[in-house]
Amino acid sequence: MAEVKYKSATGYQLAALRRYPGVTIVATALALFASYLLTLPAILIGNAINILDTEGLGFAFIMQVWTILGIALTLFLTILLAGYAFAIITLRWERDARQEFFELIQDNSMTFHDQVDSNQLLAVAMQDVRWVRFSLNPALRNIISAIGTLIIASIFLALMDVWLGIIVVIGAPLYLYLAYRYAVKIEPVRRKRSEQNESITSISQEVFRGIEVVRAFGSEEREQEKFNDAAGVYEELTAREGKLGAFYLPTLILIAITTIAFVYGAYLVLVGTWSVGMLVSALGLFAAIEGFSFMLPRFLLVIRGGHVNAQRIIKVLNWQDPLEEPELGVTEVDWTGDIVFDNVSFQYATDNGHNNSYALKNVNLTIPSGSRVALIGGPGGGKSTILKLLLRLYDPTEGRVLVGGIDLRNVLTRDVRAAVGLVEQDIFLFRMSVRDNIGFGCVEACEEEIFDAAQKAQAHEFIMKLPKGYDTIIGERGMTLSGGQRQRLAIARTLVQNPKILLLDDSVSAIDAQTEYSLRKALDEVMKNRTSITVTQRLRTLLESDLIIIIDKGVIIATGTHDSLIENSEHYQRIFKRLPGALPYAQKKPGKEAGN
Amino acid sequence: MAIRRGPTALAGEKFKRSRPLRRLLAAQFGYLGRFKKTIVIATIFAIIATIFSAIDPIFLATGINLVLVPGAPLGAILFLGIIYVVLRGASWLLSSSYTWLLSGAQAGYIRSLQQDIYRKLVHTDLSYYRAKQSGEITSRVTTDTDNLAVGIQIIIDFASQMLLLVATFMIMWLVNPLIALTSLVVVPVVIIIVVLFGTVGQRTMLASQRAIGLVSGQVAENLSGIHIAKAFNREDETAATLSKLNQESYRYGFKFMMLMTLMQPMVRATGIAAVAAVLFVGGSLAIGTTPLLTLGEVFLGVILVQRFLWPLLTLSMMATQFQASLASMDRVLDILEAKPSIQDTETAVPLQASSDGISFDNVTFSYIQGAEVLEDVNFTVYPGELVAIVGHTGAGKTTIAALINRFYDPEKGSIRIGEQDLRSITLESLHENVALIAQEPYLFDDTVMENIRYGRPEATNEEILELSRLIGAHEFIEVLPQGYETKLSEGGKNLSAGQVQMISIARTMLANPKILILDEATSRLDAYSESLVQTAQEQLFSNRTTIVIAHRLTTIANASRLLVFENGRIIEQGTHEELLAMRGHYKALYDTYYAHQTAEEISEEALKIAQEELAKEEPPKPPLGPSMKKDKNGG
Repeated sequence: MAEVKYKSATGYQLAALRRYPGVTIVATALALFASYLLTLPAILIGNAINILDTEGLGFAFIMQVWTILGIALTLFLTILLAGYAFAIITLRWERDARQEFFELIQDNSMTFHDQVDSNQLLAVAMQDVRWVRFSLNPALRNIISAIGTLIIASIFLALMDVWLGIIVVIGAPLYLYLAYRYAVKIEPVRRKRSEQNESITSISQEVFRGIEVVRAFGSEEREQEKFNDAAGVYEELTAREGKLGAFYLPTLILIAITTIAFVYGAYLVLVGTWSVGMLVSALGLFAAIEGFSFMLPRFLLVIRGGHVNAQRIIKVLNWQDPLEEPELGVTEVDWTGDIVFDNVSFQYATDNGHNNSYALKNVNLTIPSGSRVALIGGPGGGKSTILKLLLRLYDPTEGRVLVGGIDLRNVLTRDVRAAVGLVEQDIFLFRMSVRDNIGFGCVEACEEEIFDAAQKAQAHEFIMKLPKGYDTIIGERGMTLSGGQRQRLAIARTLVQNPKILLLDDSVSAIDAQTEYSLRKALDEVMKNRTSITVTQRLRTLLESDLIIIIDKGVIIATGTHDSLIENSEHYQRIFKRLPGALPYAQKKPGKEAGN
Repeated sequence: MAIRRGPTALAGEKFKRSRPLRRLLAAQFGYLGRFKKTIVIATIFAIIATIFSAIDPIFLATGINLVLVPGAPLGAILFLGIIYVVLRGASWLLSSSYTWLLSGAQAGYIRSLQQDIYRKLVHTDLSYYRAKQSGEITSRVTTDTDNLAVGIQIIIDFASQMLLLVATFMIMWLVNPLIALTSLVVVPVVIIIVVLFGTVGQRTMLASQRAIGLVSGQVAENLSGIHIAKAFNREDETAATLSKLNQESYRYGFKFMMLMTLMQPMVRATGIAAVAAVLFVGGSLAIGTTPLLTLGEVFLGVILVQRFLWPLLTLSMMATQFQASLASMDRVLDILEAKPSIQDTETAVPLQASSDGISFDNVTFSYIQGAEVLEDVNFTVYPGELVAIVGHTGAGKTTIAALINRFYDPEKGSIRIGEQDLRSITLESLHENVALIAQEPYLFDDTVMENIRYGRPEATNEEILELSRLIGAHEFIEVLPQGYETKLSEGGKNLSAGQVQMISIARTMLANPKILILDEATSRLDAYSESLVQTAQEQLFSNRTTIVIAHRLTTIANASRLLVFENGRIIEQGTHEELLAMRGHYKALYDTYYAHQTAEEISEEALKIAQEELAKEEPPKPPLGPSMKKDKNGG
């Protein structure tokens, strides 16, 4: 895993061309041939004028006209063919690059997804990949044509006269150099402007989303000022970009050379070295160059920009995952064995690497096979981190997590997650049918399992009341489910998966008696015959647990059953007493009170 | 300024507008304001530059005629060369200056529009936000203002391109009408291109955009559900789904690109064919006993005909963009001309220090006409009192909170704080004194510290820390990767729902309001944190007027009085004990929502009551707040 996948942004930017070298060569050859065809009419027009001047209207003249028409047709086909070839290689690359990008980031561990904003990832997958493609097609394709025209026209001019050749040989590189300088100068400003545009977008969008908060705190003026500042910067950048782009110096070179060629060519005609047709040809060739000149800077900009886009992409692709998959995972794990946390410490990684706080610190814990465990403790205490480590969404920073004596680091994540199931607190459901959501964990068709699970999770009844029953698409307009319903769908989803170890982050939202009743039954069902670890506030779950673990600020405070903890742990007493309806159970057993 | 040129402009969408063209144009220019002078000068520059560049080939043609006469003076050629270089140089300088001037003006124009629109949006009625998505509203500030600036440029460019076209045609006509007429052979091709791209092109572009949109939507959903895909080992399947959509988008994208690629060879080939035609006609006219044309003029015709095609195409491309800018103006005017119904009246005064307590007097309110959410509601909360509101979903509880914050005005009746009607109090002082902790907490993409400070910008770090300790938020904030300086993103995706709520509670408590409205503010907290918050609330706000929309037993227990809502009316009120003793609606509600929050088995009887009660619940209504929460959770 240590090797870097993409070494250079340039390599990435050109990957499409390198993938199909044959097609690229043919396409480039076609594009250059098209440039040749584009310059040819200038020569033929000159010939035609000469013929008019000397022979007058005749077969030779008509031939020139027909040849030009033939060139028009050939040119049409050539450009079309070149465009087709470029379209195939670049669009295929775009498709595959996007797919590769997604699959790669999908495989990255949760450390990655915690750190990187998913909106930003989406933008890279969609926009940056697209702009890299733009930089090849149309940008590079057109630049090949433009430079091709410039070179071919220069060769024609040089063949007509040595001095003209010398002027062009000096002028053309100078022209290209200045055009490049122009693009280099503008590109960073343009980039800054588009970034500023993004920031204006996010500033506004945030405020519009949170408009109630803005109103409630009466901070309209403050937000307006923030926006005005951003709009001011945007104005400055927009104006700077426009002004930098206004004076395109290379045009002056072109004007100068054209004028020199005109005067010098006319002189050559006067002294009899050139025919008048040659002068016409020369001027025609300059017109052909100018025909491309106006779009050169625009495409140079896109190519420059594409390089930065490529840098952004490979920065994401080259991210080093701290979670390493074992080469050959241990497959024979006894998932029904004891779960052991052996001196586990864990820190969430941050993008700038500064993190002094531990989510878990030296946690030692043994969960006997088949037990019902309840995890309680304050917010941020480390409860959900324990669940995440068991799913191997992360590896511990220090220490080991063992199941049946095997360190999870030695087991493929795929195998861990097949054996360990999760019902999370904020239930995430996909925009698919209820059926597909419940059957999310099935690899093959499992119609029966889905119904069975829905029934056990007490979800069948309400599903049948939905507009299209099991085929109702979740998230379609107005199709909202209550928290209790979502939770039961998630339980059904986990039942289909049939994990050996169940992790459950119970919702804290208050629910009505009917839902509570159904949920209790669903939970009983899902906890049957497996080791379960539940983060909970539910009194009943606490009372019925074989083991309660109190964790606070990443450290285990106490473990035991309800009866022993209520007696021995002040911390537990404090928490427990605050649970609604807990008072009747918060009494220490009679008789032992005397000691206090 | 990025102008969309090329075939995509031709394939642009068609827009509908609701205002007459004249109004929209007047508004577009009216907004130029202080940039008017700059724009006028820039336009003059552009026009002169166009005229110069239209006539410069004449001097080359004259030169060619000149050298055909044996023994022509070199000085004359040199003179022509100088005229040519001066004309082109001047044209370059003028058109560059035009761009320079225009881009400054455009940038300023965008800014002033952006600020005006934003100001209007920040103050506009919340009902506007209910109806639209935040992305849509944002595009008023970004895309539309850009479109408008481009629109100004389009109008100027249109004028100069038109001028170029007419001038070129006129010169050709003067040279020889037949040459001018021959140049018209390009017109059918231009028509074909415009029609082709306007129909097939547009369809293909839209299909391709849709396909790309599906890919983007799929990636977005997969990314937000990534932890579930991982937990259920579904990575291969999600990749396969994406691959299918991706292939589809490739197919449409390829079609569209081939269509776009078609344009270039069509234009170039037509240009060359037109040259052949003019050469033939010109050649025929230049020969004979009495030639109608000189060779220089044939050359001039050949050069000019090539200049004929582009302006024609450009003009047709501008039409779509011009339409787009008008449509933007139309949408922008919708905002700028809207009169917010909630704003300070001229006689509005700040809330007086002595005004406290809330009273609702015959209040009726509806979001959609005819569907009353509150009907004839009367109640009073005395200064310093804590009153709880209970009732089913859809009973109108949250609307009470929104009305006290004056997010909306009641249709009938009045709401008063002390003796002051809400409508006579300045909004600024109202919001300073009344604070709301909403059901769906919203945090900004900023640090935890700044999110809390939002409640009172001048609060010191120490004050924030102290408050966080008091409500029990300090414990979890401290262990975040960068503590209080941890930057939240995507509304706090790395925090649990309870932690998000804690931060929003801290924010409001910091604001230290006189009147506090808690809309199920602790619904996502675990019981332990909730009890800490309540203790803090007792310490900090014990004597403040407070309305709590209750969902937990513990909250009810602290209230001095309860108001029971059903279908927008108050049906019972009194203390918890009184109401229970009545054995009426409250008792049923209590059994349904609160009594089971213990460990006991739920009795058959309680279950029956609950089922009956729940049957009364209104079908869920659209949420109160802006209906644009990030709806990535699918449901």
